[in-house]
Amino acid sequence: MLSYFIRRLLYMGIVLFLVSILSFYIINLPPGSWIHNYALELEASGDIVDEEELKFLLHRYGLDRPLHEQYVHWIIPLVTEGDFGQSFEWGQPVWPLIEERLLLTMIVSLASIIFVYVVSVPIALYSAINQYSIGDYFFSFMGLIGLATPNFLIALVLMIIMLRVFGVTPGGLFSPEYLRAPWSLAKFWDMLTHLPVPVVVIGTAGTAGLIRILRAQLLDEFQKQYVITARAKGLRERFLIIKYPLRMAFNPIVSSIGSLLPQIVSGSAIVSIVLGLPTTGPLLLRALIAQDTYAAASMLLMLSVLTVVGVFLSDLLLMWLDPRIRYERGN
Amino acid sequence: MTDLLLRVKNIKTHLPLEEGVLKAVDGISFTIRRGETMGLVGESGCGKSMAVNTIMRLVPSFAQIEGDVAYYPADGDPINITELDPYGPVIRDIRGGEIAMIFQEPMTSFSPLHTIGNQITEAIRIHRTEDKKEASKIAIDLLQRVGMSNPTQRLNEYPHQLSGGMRQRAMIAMALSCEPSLLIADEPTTALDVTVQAQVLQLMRDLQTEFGMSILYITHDLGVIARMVQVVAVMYLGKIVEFTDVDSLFYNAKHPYTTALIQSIPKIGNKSRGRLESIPGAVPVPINRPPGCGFYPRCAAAIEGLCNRIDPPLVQIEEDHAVACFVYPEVVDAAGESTAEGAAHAF
Amino acid sequence: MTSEPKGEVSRLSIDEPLNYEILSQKQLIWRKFKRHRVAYFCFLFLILFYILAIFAEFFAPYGAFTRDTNFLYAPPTPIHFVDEDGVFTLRPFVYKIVSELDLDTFRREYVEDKSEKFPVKFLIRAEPYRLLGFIKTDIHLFGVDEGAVIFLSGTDGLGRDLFSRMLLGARTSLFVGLMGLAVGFVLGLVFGGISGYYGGGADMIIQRMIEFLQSLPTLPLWMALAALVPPDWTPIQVYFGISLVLATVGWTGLARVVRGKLISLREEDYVLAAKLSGLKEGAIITRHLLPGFLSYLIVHLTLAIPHMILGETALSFLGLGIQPPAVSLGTLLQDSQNVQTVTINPWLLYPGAVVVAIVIAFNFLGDGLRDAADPYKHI
Repeated sequence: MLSYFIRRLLYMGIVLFLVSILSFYIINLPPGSWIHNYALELEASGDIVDEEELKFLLHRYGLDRPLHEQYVHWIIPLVTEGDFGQSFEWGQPVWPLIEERLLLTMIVSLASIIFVYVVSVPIALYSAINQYSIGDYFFSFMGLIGLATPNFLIALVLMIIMLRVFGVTPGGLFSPEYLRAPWSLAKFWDMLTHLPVPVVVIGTAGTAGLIRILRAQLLDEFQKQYVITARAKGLRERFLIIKYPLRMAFNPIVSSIGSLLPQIVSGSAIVSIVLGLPTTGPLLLRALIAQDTYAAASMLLMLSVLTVVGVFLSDLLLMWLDPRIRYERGN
Repeated sequence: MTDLLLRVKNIKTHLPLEEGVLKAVDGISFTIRRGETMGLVGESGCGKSMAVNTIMRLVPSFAQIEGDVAYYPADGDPINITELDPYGPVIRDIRGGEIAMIFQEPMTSFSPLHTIGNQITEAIRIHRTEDKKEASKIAIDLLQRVGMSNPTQRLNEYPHQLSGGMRQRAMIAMALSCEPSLLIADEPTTALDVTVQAQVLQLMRDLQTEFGMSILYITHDLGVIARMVQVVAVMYLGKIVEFTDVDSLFYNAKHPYTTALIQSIPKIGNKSRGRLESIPGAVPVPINRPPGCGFYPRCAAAIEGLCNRIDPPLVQIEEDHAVACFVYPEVVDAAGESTAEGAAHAF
Repeated sequence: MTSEPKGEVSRLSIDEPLNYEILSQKQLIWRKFKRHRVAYFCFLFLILFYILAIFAEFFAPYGAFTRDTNFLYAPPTPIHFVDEDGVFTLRPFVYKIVSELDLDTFRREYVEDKSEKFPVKFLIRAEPYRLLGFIKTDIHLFGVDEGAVIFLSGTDGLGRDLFSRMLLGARTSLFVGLMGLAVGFVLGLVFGGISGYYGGGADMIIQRMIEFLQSLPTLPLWMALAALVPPDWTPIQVYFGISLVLATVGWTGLARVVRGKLISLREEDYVLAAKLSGLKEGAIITRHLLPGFLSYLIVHLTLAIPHMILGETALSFLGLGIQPPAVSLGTLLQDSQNVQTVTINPWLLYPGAVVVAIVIAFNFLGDGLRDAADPYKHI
């Protein structure tokens, strides 16, 4: 068990190391750099760009050095001191810039995952028990629509409905008065009231997918011999379904976190851009376009940390739930 | 208290599928007395499992059931099982409490996520005692009686930690935990190794003498029939084609299908180098079946113009020996009486 | 038939006048598929859609870049069959549309001038174009005479006909999916094949690689990769670039399917039997393994196309995918980024509805194919 644990941790470390290299190189792959973009912009607006100053800036930010040196220059302080480097675009350290946004990304993602499970488990259970009923068809159809509609489109439609019916523009995670306020209970509550729209939008696709998987899984389990055994023992039908097939289906539910989490984080990025949420998504987009290397790489890395750690936790949960897996890994 | 335990009368289980109606069980009748051991034998797909699942009302909800299954409790009036709500309290009391079942696959019959103890005591707590500790005690005692070492420890183990034979023993312990009057064993040894098979069969014989329950064996293995049962019903395509005691099955089989089955048993000491006998053709799928005897296309003794038009009824032709085949004049007579009108059309 | 010799066969055939047909596996699958009504309908719908997209210029009444500055954000033109006097004509017609400035809101309003009817004409000569890129012609499926306009789904902020642009955009979106798929298919097949067939160390490395790629949040990765596409690329280059981006992330699922199938098929008795009877490795792969999971591949491909389309739409919507002036369903949706504008001009969301319809159709098609291809499932 302990060796499995250590192996997993080691593997996580390797994955994150690779992610850091990969994202750093991908961001630097396009020709030019933030400084060059900056110079181009200045030129476009008619300013004269001083060659000397350009060189000085390049040197100061270390952009004149080979890429692997730049990478080392970024990753070493990150690992040893938790220093994420400087953002060119914002002219300030990356960490304070993304700190709160990361927290909000986590909150939004977590809330979305909870939403996905709270909605999909009962619906899947209903659909499986009442297979081919009108309700089953209805949920299947709604699920299909949910799967087929791009997140941002749902966000747009929801915003239009809000605007037309209630006359409010939803968007953001906070009311204006709390935007810059320090964290307090009131601010937290304000955020909770703003959460439903983004959570519904981000969670729709995941919910639809999970209902599909779970329904099929439950139907599959209903046919299993152990269910018939339990029935032959004289168990009450409702008790039986909860104790056996649903419990069995929890396995794929938990392991689906592995695929759900990257999906949710992805979805939240684009939805945040449409809904103007102060999460990492919009900032990442800007950083990517502006080639703000350290900021972009740091955010990509942190988003990956979020997913990888989430998957790891779901794996631990799975071990706790399933004696077979515990048994396998124990040996 | 009557001697009768279960009377199955003309039950039919039809499954409406998109290709047509699958007549899995098509009118079978038999009775089981207290303490009696009966065998239901037939090839895979002949409907024998569906027949016992109908008795337990464990068939899929879209299946159409006809006929009567009368269960005679030790005290009280007989219960017609086919009229019960399949999820209701009466059938739930019968399941596990009065009639218990053992299934073929000991691996899949237990939930892999719950301990053996959990799954055994569950049945005990439904039918015998509410008390958790007492239930555990009963379970431990049973595990010991089915020959499992270290029963206390076994209670906390998961199915994957046991071998196939041990799992089947646990299954038997679970089925016996509520002291049922009838034990239905659906191919209980098919999935086991031969040596383990023998052990489990011996165990079941011992337990029957100890508990005194009736057993209904479902099997395709004539060896099991020969060892274990007193009376045998041979099933083919959803129907019973021969009903007799075990001795006359092996030495005085009447139905061409039964004789063919018995001929296909390899015999020790048979020195001839000839091929092992087999029945030509395969069991047809009972969907949109043409009229006539189900065995007709594979039968060597078929009577053209009769067997392919009328389904032979099951008729008693000797003492305790019934057969459904037109080779026997008694069967032809019986068919003529019961289906005189229908037959007039056919000829 | 009756002259056949007596025996098993003749007895069977007398009773049952041959109601059996021997069908090949393909015919069986096709027959089962056709019985799946919804999937079959979606199949026809998609074929129709691809035809519409391929010959977009013919079906579109206007060019995708033709601007009519008199009609900025004009709503869909109403099509009539019954005129003011209640007379029904089989040939649909439109009224002339005139724009008026609403002095209260300072917005342009478009109203019908009911004095003059313009019949919808079919196979009308209008803007010249090149069909399939090389046939010079100016015949459009439908249109109206000079003086009136026919905007089936309104116009955008630059006065371009959204219906025509949607047809053209659908072409990009439908084919970007296929292109990405082809690349992803090759990657998935090769890596999955190596992983499943050879196993061992190669399998280990490829599996870790897939796990690694799957644990990454897709969209940020797409964003990062799409940001790679240099801004000075031509639309066609961008188009290929985006397909590649979608493919690099999308092949992992297929590789897993291929690997899993190969591993389970390798263990099948009939493959062992083929090996024991001395069949060569190549023959085993092509004759025994490939047919075993070909249907899965087709199903997987069908279900992967909508993923690609959704991916392209999302990227283009963010401005990272296909860049204007090139048209795709995603770039068309860029116009609807502003909620206020969309609320006033809801037809800007129509391209979104097209995306949803296409994706749903592909999903049903995939489901139907899966059911049809499953030899153990009888419909």
